[in-house]
Amino acid sequence: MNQQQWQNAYEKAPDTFHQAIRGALKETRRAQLRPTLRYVALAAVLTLFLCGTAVAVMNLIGVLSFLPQGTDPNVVQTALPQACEGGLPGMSVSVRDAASDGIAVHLTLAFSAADPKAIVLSEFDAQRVDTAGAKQVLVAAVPEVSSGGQALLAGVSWLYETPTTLVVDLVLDLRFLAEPSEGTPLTLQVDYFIAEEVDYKKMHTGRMDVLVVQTLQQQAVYHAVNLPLVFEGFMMTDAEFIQTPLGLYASYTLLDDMELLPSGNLWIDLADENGQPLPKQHGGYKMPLSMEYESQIMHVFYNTGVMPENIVLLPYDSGTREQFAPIALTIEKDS
Amino acid sequence: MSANYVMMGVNHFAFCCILQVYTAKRREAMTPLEFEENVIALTETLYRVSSSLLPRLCDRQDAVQNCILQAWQHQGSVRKADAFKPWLIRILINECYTLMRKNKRLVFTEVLPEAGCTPNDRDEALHDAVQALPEMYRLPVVLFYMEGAGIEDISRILRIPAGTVKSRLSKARRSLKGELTR
Repeated sequence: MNQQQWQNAYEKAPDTFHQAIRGALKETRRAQLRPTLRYVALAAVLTLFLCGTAVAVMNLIGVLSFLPQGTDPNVVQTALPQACEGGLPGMSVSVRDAASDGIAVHLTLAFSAADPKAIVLSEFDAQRVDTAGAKQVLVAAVPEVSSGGQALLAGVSWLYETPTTLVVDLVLDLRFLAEPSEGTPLTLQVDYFIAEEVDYKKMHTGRMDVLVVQTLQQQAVYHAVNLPLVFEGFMMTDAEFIQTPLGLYASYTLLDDMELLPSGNLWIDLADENGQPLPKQHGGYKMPLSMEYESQIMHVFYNTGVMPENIVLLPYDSGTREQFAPIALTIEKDS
Repeated sequence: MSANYVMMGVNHFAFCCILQVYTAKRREAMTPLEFEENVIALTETLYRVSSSLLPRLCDRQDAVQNCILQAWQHQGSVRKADAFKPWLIRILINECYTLMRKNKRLVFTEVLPEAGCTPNDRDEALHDAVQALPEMYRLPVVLFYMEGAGIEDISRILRIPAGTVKSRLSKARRSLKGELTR
């Protein structure tokens, strides 16, 4: 097959795609016309940055920096046993702290360059920053985390403590592991990747084994009581919400006949009674269950402290983004 | 919580800005016209690469728009004209990944099919075979066979060693051969 024949694997770019490109190019032309505004904005954010950095340096970034304000500091585990191999000379990688509630683990990883003139970037920022004058540029990619061969990583966030220290918060979903028990140690394998320079010419890998103690935080369990619900040809047979100090964990069981949505899959966002979307820590999974068309969607949200009596399901077709009619779930706390 | 996140966002954005000031170094950049011409010439490439990662057209459009704005802001970091294409593709892939993570709708058990009716200007069997490849094999195939990128370029774009590119291409070829001769 020649190159042209290979290219036939994809259709020609549609008009809307061409329009999107023209729109973006038009925006770049506009951007050339407003340099003054850019510099004013830059000065403003630099001021804010300095204020923020001062706060960050006084209190080192850790798990609590990534959780809602008011999270009980007693959930944080520090001085975690950890063994590291591989990596890159001139950069230290360490697990700073962790928090567990029996359903998920938050683990913070600090990437720190020894050279004060180096900069450490998240891979998501590496292409966004002009690094021409830096003595050394180190880029941390998203690590892989597993326990006993089961991949656990569900969400990633990051903060810059200083230009030489990047702190990454890894959200690990433990719902695929065996039932946890209070005080049980959990060994996590963290495989991390560091690139020298933003073009990733030199990649270095390292592995850490970390021991986290599973702690079972206080849980409030809620179930939907107006089930089963039928909508758009789907049937929801179960909806469970578990609230802990670290998060709100949702899982629903659906009879989900894939034939019903030929262009995609049914997916669900959640909102409170006022229509405000619940803030997600990560988007979730869709898992096949025992029956042929039965699947389970699992989400993790931030615990905002208040559990609404009614949760609004916002179903949609993930292929076409077609929104279906909202559905109210009536929630009751288990006794 | 919201104040916390506002500060995270501000810090993050401010960090990028301060680094730009800290590391700023004037270099020759493309003229706006050259930049536009180079981007438009790569429209089909950008479409194919984004199609290989994002099943929804609207997401591809978002990704390519973000990609162009990022590229415009940082075009000074392209040292050679012939590096523009792999550099732009890398940014697009980053944007696609960012969008995938932002959407946070990770569906591990199946590949979402293309939206809308099937276009009539593509080789459906080849399309399905390529899309059925795991992402780690699909991108090297798209870049190597469709975009004519060399192994070293793919290695840089995908941040993986050249040997890994070769082995992934080899596995992808075997898989595609099996699919297409079935």
